Formats: sequence, C-alpha cells, structure tokens
Amino acid sequence: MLSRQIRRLLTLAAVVALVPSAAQAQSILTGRVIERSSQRPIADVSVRVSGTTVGARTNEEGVYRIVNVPAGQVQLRATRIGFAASARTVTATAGLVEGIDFALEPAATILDEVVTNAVTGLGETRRSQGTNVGNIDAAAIEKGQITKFTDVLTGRTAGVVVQGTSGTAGTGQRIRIRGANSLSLSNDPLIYVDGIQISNGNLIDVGIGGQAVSRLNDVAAEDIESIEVLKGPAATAMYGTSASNGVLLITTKRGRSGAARWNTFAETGTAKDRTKYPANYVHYRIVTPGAPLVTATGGYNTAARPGCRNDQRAAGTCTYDSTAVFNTLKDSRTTPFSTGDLTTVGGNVAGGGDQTQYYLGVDHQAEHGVVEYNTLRKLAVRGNLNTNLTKKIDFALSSGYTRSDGAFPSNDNSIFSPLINGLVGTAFFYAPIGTQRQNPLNYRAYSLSQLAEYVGHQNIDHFTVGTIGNYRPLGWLTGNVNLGLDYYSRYDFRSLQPGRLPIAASFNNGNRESTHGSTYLYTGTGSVSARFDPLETLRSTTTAGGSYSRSLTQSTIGFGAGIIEGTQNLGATSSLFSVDEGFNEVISVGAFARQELAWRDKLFVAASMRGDDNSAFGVDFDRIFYPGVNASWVIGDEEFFPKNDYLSSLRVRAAYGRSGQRPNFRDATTFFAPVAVQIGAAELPAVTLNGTGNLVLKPEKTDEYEFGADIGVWKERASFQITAFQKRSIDALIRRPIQPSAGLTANRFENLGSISNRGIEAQLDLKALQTERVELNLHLTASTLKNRIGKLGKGVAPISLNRGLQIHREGYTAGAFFQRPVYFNDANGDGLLSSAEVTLGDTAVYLGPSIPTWTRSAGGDVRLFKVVRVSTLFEGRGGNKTANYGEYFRCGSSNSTRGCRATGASDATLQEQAAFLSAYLLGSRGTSRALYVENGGFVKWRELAVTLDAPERWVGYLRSTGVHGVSVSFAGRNLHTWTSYTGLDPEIIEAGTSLFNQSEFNTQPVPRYYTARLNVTF
Amino acid sequence: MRFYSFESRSVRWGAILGAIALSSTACDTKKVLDVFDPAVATPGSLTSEGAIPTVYFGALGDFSAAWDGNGLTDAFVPTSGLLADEFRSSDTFTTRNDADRRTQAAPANGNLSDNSYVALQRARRSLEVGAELVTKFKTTKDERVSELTALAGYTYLAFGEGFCGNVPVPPTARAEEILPAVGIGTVALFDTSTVRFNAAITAIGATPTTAALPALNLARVGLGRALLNEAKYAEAAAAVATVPTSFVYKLFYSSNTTRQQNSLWNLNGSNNRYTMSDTEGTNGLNYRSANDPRIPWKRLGNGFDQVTIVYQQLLQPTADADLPLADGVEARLIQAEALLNAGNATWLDTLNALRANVNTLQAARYADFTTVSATDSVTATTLPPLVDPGTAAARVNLIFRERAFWLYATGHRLGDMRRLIRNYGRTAATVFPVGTSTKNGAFGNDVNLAIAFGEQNNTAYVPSACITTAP
Repeated sequence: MLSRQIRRLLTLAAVVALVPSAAQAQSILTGRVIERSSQRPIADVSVRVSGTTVGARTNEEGVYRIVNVPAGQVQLRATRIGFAASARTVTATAGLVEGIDFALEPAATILDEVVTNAVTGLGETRRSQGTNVGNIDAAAIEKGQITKFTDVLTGRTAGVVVQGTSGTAGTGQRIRIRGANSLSLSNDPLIYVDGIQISNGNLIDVGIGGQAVSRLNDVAAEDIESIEVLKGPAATAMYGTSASNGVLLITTKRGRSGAARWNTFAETGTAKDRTKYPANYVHYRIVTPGAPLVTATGGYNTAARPGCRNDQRAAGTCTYDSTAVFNTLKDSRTTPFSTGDLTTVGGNVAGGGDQTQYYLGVDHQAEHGVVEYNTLRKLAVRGNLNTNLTKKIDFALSSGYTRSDGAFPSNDNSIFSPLINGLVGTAFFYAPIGTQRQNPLNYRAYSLSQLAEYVGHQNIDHFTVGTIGNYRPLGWLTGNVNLGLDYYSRYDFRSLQPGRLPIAASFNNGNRESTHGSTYLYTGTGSVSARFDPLETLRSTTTAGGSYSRSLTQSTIGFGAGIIEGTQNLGATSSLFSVDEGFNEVISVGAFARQELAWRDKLFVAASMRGDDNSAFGVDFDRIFYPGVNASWVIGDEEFFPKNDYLSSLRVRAAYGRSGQRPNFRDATTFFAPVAVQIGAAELPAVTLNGTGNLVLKPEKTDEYEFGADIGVWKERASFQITAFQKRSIDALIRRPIQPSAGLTANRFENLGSISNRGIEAQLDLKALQTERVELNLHLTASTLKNRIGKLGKGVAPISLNRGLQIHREGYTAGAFFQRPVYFNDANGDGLLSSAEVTLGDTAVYLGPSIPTWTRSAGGDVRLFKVVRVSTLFEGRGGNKTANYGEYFRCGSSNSTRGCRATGASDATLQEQAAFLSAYLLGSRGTSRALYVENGGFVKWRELAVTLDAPERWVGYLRSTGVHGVSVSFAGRNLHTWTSYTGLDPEIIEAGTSLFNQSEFNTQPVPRYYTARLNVTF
Repeated sequence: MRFYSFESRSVRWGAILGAIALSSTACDTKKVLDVFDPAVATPGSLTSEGAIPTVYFGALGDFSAAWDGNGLTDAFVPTSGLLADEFRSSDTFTTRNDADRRTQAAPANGNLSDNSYVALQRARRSLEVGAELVTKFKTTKDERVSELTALAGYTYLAFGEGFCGNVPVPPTARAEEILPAVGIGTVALFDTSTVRFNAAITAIGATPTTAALPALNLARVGLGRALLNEAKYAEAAAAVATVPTSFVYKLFYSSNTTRQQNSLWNLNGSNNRYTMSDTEGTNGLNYRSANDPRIPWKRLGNGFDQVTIVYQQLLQPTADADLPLADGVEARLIQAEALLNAGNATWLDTLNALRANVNTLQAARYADFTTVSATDSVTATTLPPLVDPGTAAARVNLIFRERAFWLYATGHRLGDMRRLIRNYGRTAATVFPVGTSTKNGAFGNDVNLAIAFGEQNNTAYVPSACITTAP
C-alpha cells in the first residue's frame, strides 16, 4: 500500500494535468437529412463525428447542428435504424459550415448504429462489436398497445423472454435473457437508463400471493428512445459482477437543436378478462326431495344432497341422480371481473440551442384492473439536458421521477384471491341473501365484498438522477465521468376492518400492516480513453477506469391486530404487535481496462479486463477478474467480397467474455437474529441462528462464447442475423440444503455447481415493399435454448422445488419436472376409472424442462398512402412444461358442493379422472401429479395497432395554430392465445419472484386491452 | 496522423492514467467494502461469559418453538397429534391431509413433519452449544447446564417417539460445522436421550439446591419416559419416583411475536386447520364424546377447507397458552404402568389418585384450564374411579387411554401408539386410524413421521433405511 503522501502527490499531478489546455479552433457543422426516394426529412438521425462523442440528432425537419467540432478534416456519419448509414468527409473550418446534407436509403441492416457503453461512456458502432446486441427501436413502436414498459421488450428481440406474473394491473414480469444461469441467485438482467444503473426491485411487504411488482415498469414507455440488449457475458464482461444475466441499456429521448417541439397524447381504453375459466361440477343424489338448498345454520344442505364423485361411482359406493354445474367466475351474477379501463395523458417537449438541448416529458396513467379494487395510478416525469459547458466539456443530465399508487388484490396461493374463491367455488348457485357477490356460499370461503376489504397497497416515489460528463482535452483523449443515484421509497400498507374476514384472530379483530422503506443505488464510474492511429490503417483505442456502486435498503415494518373500526393506523391496533427493521447493503468496487483495434474500419478486435471486489463476497475471498475478447470482420466491405444485389453485406463476429453474479447480502455471513423469549412472566432478549455463512464465498462466474454473422441481402432490404452461443456458469452459487441434523439453517450458499445454456438465435428484418404508397416491413425472430445442470456439487442431493414437482438434478435442465408415470386402463369399459384401474411407475421420471426451449416472434408493419399504419406482433414459446396446479387443487377440493370435471362431469375423460385418482386416491401406493404437468407452449397474438396520420394537406390547414401533426391510433393487446394447455394461461406463473417455479395456480391471466389514442404535435 | 508524439500534454495525460492506475492499486478496497450490519449478532459476539443469558434464553426459545410454537408452522405437538388420533386435518393443504391420512409423500415432495424435524434438530444443537458455553464459564452444577442438557434429551425423545427410526445425530454440535452423521434407530435414540438425562441429573449432584429442582425433575421425568419407551418399566418408575405430583415444567408461549405463539392454538383455535378428533378411523379414542373434564373443548365453525367442523381443545386456547412438557402427573402415569407390568394391583390406585384431583392437577398444568364454561361442550366436572377391566389387554388399553387423556396434545400420543405396537405386540391396524379418511381416500400405513428430504445432503446418511414403517 502506498503512503498517504505519495497518493496525495499523485492526486495533485492528476489535478494539474486536468487544467484545460490552450483553446483550439472549433467549427459548427450543420445540414439536413432526408430520405432519398421520398425526399422527406428524417427525424432522430444521429449525426456524429466518427470516433468521438461529438454529435447531434436531427429535428422534425431533418436538420442537425453540431457544435465544438475540432477544426480539420473529419468524417461525419449519419445513422438511424431502418436506414443505411451514410458518411461524408468534410473539412471543419473555424466557424459555421453549412450544407452538409445526407440522403439515406432504407435498409434493414443496423451495422452502423452506435451503442453507448455504460461503463466506458464511449459510443461503439455495431460493426465493431463481436457480439449480437439486440435492438428495440422503442420510439417507433405505436404506444397504444403498450400498457407497461416490459411490453416494449416482449417478442421484439431474439433470446429475451418476458413472462408475466399475473394480469393484475401494476404487477411485474420475469425477464430472462438466454436462459437462466444461476440456480439460486437472481437471473434478472442489469438495467441502465441513460447510462445510470437503476434498481429492478420487486419488494413489497404486504402479501399479495405470488404476484411480483417491478420497478422497471416505473420507466414510462413514452420516454424511451431505444433499448439495447446485451445478451450475455460475451457482451457484458466490462459490466462485471452481477452482469452475467445480460444488460438492458435503455436510452430515453433527448432534446435537439431547434425550436421547441411539443408532443401531446391522450389515450383511453378498456381491459377485459377473456379467460376460459372452468366450471365446478358435482354429481349428487336427492335423498330429501324438496329440502332447502341451504340449511338453517347457513351451509349447503349436503345431507339432503350427498355428493357422488366419479371415482366413487366407478367403485359402486354411491349413485347420483343430478348434476350441478356452475361457473362462478364466468357467471355475471358472481364473477369478480368487470371491464377495466385505462387512461393515459401526457406530453413532452424537446428543443434547445447549439449549446444546450432539453427534453421534458410528463405522463399520467390511471388503470382500473379487471378486478374492480385493482387500481394503478402513475405519474412519470422525465427531464433530460445536454449541454456543452465548454468547447471540450459536454455534460448530460438525466432525471426521472415516478409516483405510483397501486392497489392489489391477492392472487395465486392466497385464500384471499378472488380467483381461488371462484375456481374452488360452488357447483350450486345460491341467490336469496343480498346480492350474490356478497354471499360467501357462492364462493370457496369469502364473498367478493369481503375480499374487497383486504387490499394491499404500495405507493412508490422513484427518483433517478444521473450525470455523464465528457472531457476532451486533446483530440485523441477523452475523459468520462458518470455519477448516478437511483432512489425509491415505498409505502406498503393494508388495513382490515374488524369482523370483515372471519379466518383467524389476527384477521377477525381487524389488523394493520405498514412498511416504510427506502432503497438507494449510488453508482459512479470514471474512465479515460486514448485514441490514436499507430498506422494509417489501424486505429487504437485504450480505455481504463474504475467504478463504485453501493446499494442500500432500509425499511421499518409494523403489524398490529385489534384495530379500531374506521381507523387505518398502527397506533389504533391493540394486540399481536410486531415491529422490525429491514437492512441490506452491498458495496462493489471495480477497475477495468479495454484495448480496441480497428483495421481499416473493417476488422475489429477488442480485449478487456475487469477486476471487482464486493462486500457480499466471503471475507476470505479477495477479488475476481472478468476477461473479455471479441472480434468483428465486416467481410462485405472487403474488395474481394463479391458485390451483387442478392448478397450485399456480410459480417462475421466472435466473442468470449466472463461476468459474474454476486452473492446476496449476508450470504457469506453466519449471523444470529434477535428474538424475544417468554420465560415465566417475562419477555427476555435472546438470539436464534438465522444464517449459516461461508467465509470463502465468491461470485458465480459465467463464461460465454458467441459466434455469428450479419448478412445483408437484396440491396440491404433484408437483414439476417444468426448467432450461436454457449455459456457455462462455474463456481455456481448453490443454495445448498444443509442436512437438518447439522442443526444449522436450512441452507447456505456454496460455490459448487455448474450450469450451461446454449442455443441459436436468428433474426430477420425485411423491408419487403418500399413504394411511394405502400411500405411493408417484417420482423422475425427465433431462438433455441438448451439448459443443463452440469453438477450440483459433491454431496448435494437433487434440490426439490415447487412442492416437489420440479427438481434441480444433474444432467437435466434446471427446475425440470419429475413425477412418477401414471398408467390407467378402463378395464370394464364403463367410462369411469376407479383407483384400482390406475397404477404408478416405481420411480419418478423426467417429464420435461420448465424453461422454454424455443421462442419465435413475427411482427410487421404496413404503411399505406402515407396516412395509414398497421402494425402487429405474434410471439410463441414452447418446448417446456408447466404445472396446472390450479386444476390439481380444484380436484383435490372436491366434496358435495364443489368439484372439477374429473370428479363431477359426466363426460370427464379417462385422462382427467386418472389425473385426480393418481394425485389423491391411491393411498399407500403413493401419489403422482404427472398428469397435471402439461405442455406449456403457446402462440400469442400480442399486438395490433392501426394508426391514421392526418394527411399533410390537413395538417397544413392547422399549421397556423401551431399544429404540425395529428394521428389517431386504435390498438389491441393480448388478442388471442393458441395453446394445448388446459389451464388458464400457460404464460403466467404463480410465484413471480421465484427463479424456476413454473406453475399456474389461481393466477390472474393477462386481460385483453383495447385502446384509442390521439397524438398531436405542436 | 501522429504516432506516439509525446508532447508535454501527452506526458501530462500519461501521468493522469498512471495516477488513476496507482490510486486504484493503492486503495484499500476492504475498507471501502466494509458494511456494518446493525440488525444481527455474529458468532464472535456470543462466545463470552456475558453472552450466556442470551444464548441460554435463545436455546430455550428454540426448543419451545420446535415443540409447540412458531405460529402457524406445524410444531412437534400438533404434527405428531395429527398423525396419531388426537387431531384431524380441516385444511386444504395436502401435506396436512397426507399426514392425517397416514399417507405421507416421498421425502422429495416435502412433508408436514419437515418443519418439526428441522426445528427439533436446530433446538438440539442450540441446547448442546448453550450447555457447552455455560459449562465453559461456570461449573456443571449451574442448573442451566442440566436444564439445557435435559431439554436436549427431550429432542432425542421426540425423534425416537415420533420419527422414523433413522435419525442422524452428529458427533458434536460445534458452531457452523457441517458434519456427516449416521442415522440411528429408535432404541438408540432413546439410549442417547437417556445419556443426556443422566448427565443432567449427575451434574446437579446428590444435594440439589432449590433452584436446581425444576431441572432435576425435568431430567427425571425425561429419563422415565425414555426408559418406558424401551420397556424398562421398573427402571422408569425408579427414575420418576421422587418427582412430586405437583411438579410441572412448562414451555412458555406468548402473543408477542409469531415465533412465540402457541402452534396448536394457531392451527386449531385460530386458523382452523386442525380439529379435535373423536374416534378417528375407528381405532381413535373418543376425545370429544367422552365428556372428560381433562379435555375441555368447544365447537367452532367450518374449517379452512370450508367443510370440516372445527372442534377446539381448550387446554391451549390462546396464542400465549403455556404447555406442560414434563410433570408429576406423567411421573405417576409412568409408575402406574410399571406397576401394571409388574403385576402389582395398586396400579389402578395410582391412576385413581390422579383422577380424584383432576381439576387441581389440570389447573396447575394449564393456566387456562377451567372446569366447565359456557362455551364448553364438556359437562362432567369430576372423574369417577376406574375399575379393573379384568383382562391384560383391557388393562393395557385402560392405562394408555388414561395417558392419552391426561397427556392430550402434549406430544406423547404418537409415541404411545408406537409403544403399543413395539412393546405390547399390537398391530398398527388395531392402534392407528384405519378405513376411509375424511380427506379423500383410505388411511395409509404410516406410523411415524418422515425424515426431511434435506437429510439426504448428509453423506453418511442412508435414506433407504427410512422407508421402513416399523414402529
């Protein structure tokens, strides 16, 4: 370690060196960008001085203006998704240089698009990158079909799977990129907004079943310009620890030089539940004709109408003369569903001068879910500022604030879910007392009016601010500083008034839950990059820097029962008090270096190394290094490459990288939690073991190899990308179950296992038709995935999850389904199975993976006569299994008042009957839920939008009022599902925050949305 | 283009790069990464003499939680009572229904007993580590050593009486050590508990202080119970001979936190997941219809499954209801059984002496015990003397029935039912519930609680031996 004096001297040297050097002559370059065929101006074209961060974007008239361009010969490159890049070499003289115009040709290839590295702050063209970076042109997506941020991600880039945790308004999604790397840690990607890392937390301290919330959805889709998806360690090695699951780089809209341009919008829509819910069935026998349906004590009169299940009929132990069928969730008198609505209004303004540009957006969303007490109100404000402080220093400020107030019904495995109360409702219908929705007899346990008394709330204030500064003291040297703070406070609460939900003392007397929590994520990165040309044909860029991040979560959690009627405050409770504080802090530091070589702008090689240390590592583990290397060769630009109309460009690429996943807070530490102990009449302080640590705990490492090609055909009208990847996590952090006989906690983290993912991704973008009157663009993606657990670690038994339905087992996919096989034979041919006609295999067998092995999407948009745009998107996934746990539970709840098809339908199939019998009625022969594990594949029609743009002539009439454009769009989302799955929806998952659980259990499916939207530009 | 033209500015910037590189090298990252966690205690802070009270109370808390606490988590008392004939499931949870129906799932699928098995193992370790810490700084005569050691003995008793006879026990209980452990059988578990109880008794010495008497009697009753399990009736009787009938060692519960709440109250009286049984599966005893003042009960509404009527036992009617772990009543019952096995006719007198004082004894054992209340469904306030049923089998039935009613919902019944099979030659089909269960289907063959699947991470453990249903 160096002495303090030496460090001070070095710091002083750095400060002295940073004194600005003598002023150089600067130039202002300006021009216009148009589409070659139509001569229309193109907005949002990035025009940059090659190899620098100096540049600007075009405004609505296609005009750009770049200031502070060093005098001399420079190359300007104009790029925009959907167009072929164009470059011009110009001489920048002191002062204004005008008329540097560009005419762009439509093209499906995006090789010249620039992706900004959130670690180094440098822009990197795709052609120089050895990896396949997914791109979503969010600004071009019609917003009427987008109900939340993650809708933007769904089905638009190969290898990205967005899985809904429920259709409840305000709930979040599970995002997986290229499978799952970690058996026990998060498989969520890192998220950056304008270079600032943000939390993608899902904390909520009032139980709402398995539903998860997501802070990612705090980002307003309206403000997003584009999303880049770095899919794996080959691309994220520079992002270090926690980046093994990929990185989402979200770029929000920014200002452009020119007069202020206002965009306003208003949207209204409906949400409808279109799920095919199953009915309840009961066979019964009328033993007392004329007996009332309900007894005097309030229950169904089952003595007068004893039930008779199909298996009992098969065994001859009962007979029936009637069948009751009622669908609680579909019947208009009892359904909890109504037509939801959503309203969004907002606007944004962008503009600025040569030195400073701004963007300000405001977006207010109000949504009423299909369950009437599910509401979400969200206000999102974004302010972005770009300014050139001096000729050598530019500065970007990004800020976002979101306030959201959500009210959530319970769902999934919760007795307070309206779904479970309907799905396991009654086969009868009981009307007399009050309205039917207020009568518990029509439901499993609680009426809708009772459930509406028990609503979880979460209020969020989410604030993100970040600054990125670039300093260019010399033409070849750039310094970059990036500072960010992502903060959100949450207020989770729920009150239950006395006597509303008779279940247990803590409910009967009413209660109050309340949590106040704050989460901070501080990030800072600094780097310097030196660029020079060792040879005339070779460009070198060297970057070195360091980073720091600190995440801190603190919360205070309180509960009390026995609340005073009409109050909603912990102070108004009188019993069963509990109070706790939550604390979680993780600090990470890292240093990195990267060397990039570009030969004639055709062959690119880059190597990087990053070293990280983290507070969550074991104290006996020091630091970890993440190497990366990648190469890209644009063969299509070589002279020897045969140029023709069919094969117009070709690039091959290869990359290797390593990144990691850190343990969680306290995973490395053995600790005891304070508890109270009652001894006699005294409450005494004590401790109990709460975590078994591991002093040598280190991060999980994931190595990825990626190879691929980008092919442009048909004069760049079609772009085909294909990528093969293989990644393997070693030192995999396994939450290893500890044998209970050790007397410790249930598990601890150890670096034991390995897990691999490999697959192929393909993407085709096709500008199929480009005429003056008609444009047709198609976008197709496909991917395959093979996930496999290499090893769990010596002495680690297969890890069971999802109530024993799924198992992590060596040699199989993570979370694979295993059950004993079920055999059945209707020996007497009576159409009914008895338990004697069902047998089980001796041992559990592999049924299939829980992770989709393939994904496909197809989207397209048509533009007609310059005024009509139609866009649509289909997405399919499959190859995996999912558990229809809801039906399993429904059948198991069968009695004289309720049942499923297997137990109470006259036309129940043998398969349905066998599923029930094998799961419940084989006694000492064991059980199997194999027949409730179904194919989870599906194809969904995600989106359809029709947009009508006001013709130029009409807009011309309005121009005097300041209006520059008007459009109206009509959109639908979640329009249809094709699947063989017999449950509610194969896509939704019961446990939203779980890593691998793949089952549907009383989970609210995503509703169908229809929206109408008006956009006006001033 | 220039190539390495080291102008003065370049040199200056070279210095910047060097400064950054050296600064990052010089930086002591461990200090930067130092996170103070204010919410927890570390092992290092619990090894001093000053930590003894914290560790001691912590061990008692772990045991109370495992035996009959931890809120809605099924502790040993309710779980064993569910598999036995004390309770029925009024729940939809398949694990509870499986345990009630005696058809527990394969360990990999998880079973209800996993909770109590894990909690008992953790309590065992806490107690043994706690006893070591007290011994390190005090003498073994410190009554806390005996109390912790005796309670550790009760964990072995629970394993022996409740679980399949293949319970791994590590050789030592060092903090954070994960040691392979060989499973030991039912009798060996009782032997191990006997060692603990004898150690607890020996530590106190021949002249116990008044403060040491509760721990001493706790160990004596435990020893008698262990020996009874091994059919060593005379030795068992001798072990408890000096335990006064008025002695009660209670586990304390509280409504303060979920962990401290009485588990049986949560499951039966509050959340309606369990209901009191009455002649469950033909062989079960008539706990409700016997109209026995030892077990007051009342009818609640529908259970969690919305079908089964819930009957709540009123011995543990609140979240903070305490529970007798060992007492003089059990000591007398052990003596009575020993007398019966010795052919001594006074066995019935011993039982009748207890019965004559039912209200006094129950009130001493249960703070919430009241003879008859308006909500009770028990009208009897006294117990008539028993008469000799005349046959050996009937006498055994009678004494086990007396034990079942005196020791209802205290974690004894499952062990007693297995004793009937193991020591008295009965068959499971005549002891455990049989026939058609109220929870879909027939009763199975289980007579003991399953060992948690997590034990298969123990390299010395052989799970196949656990498949046996031998009692």
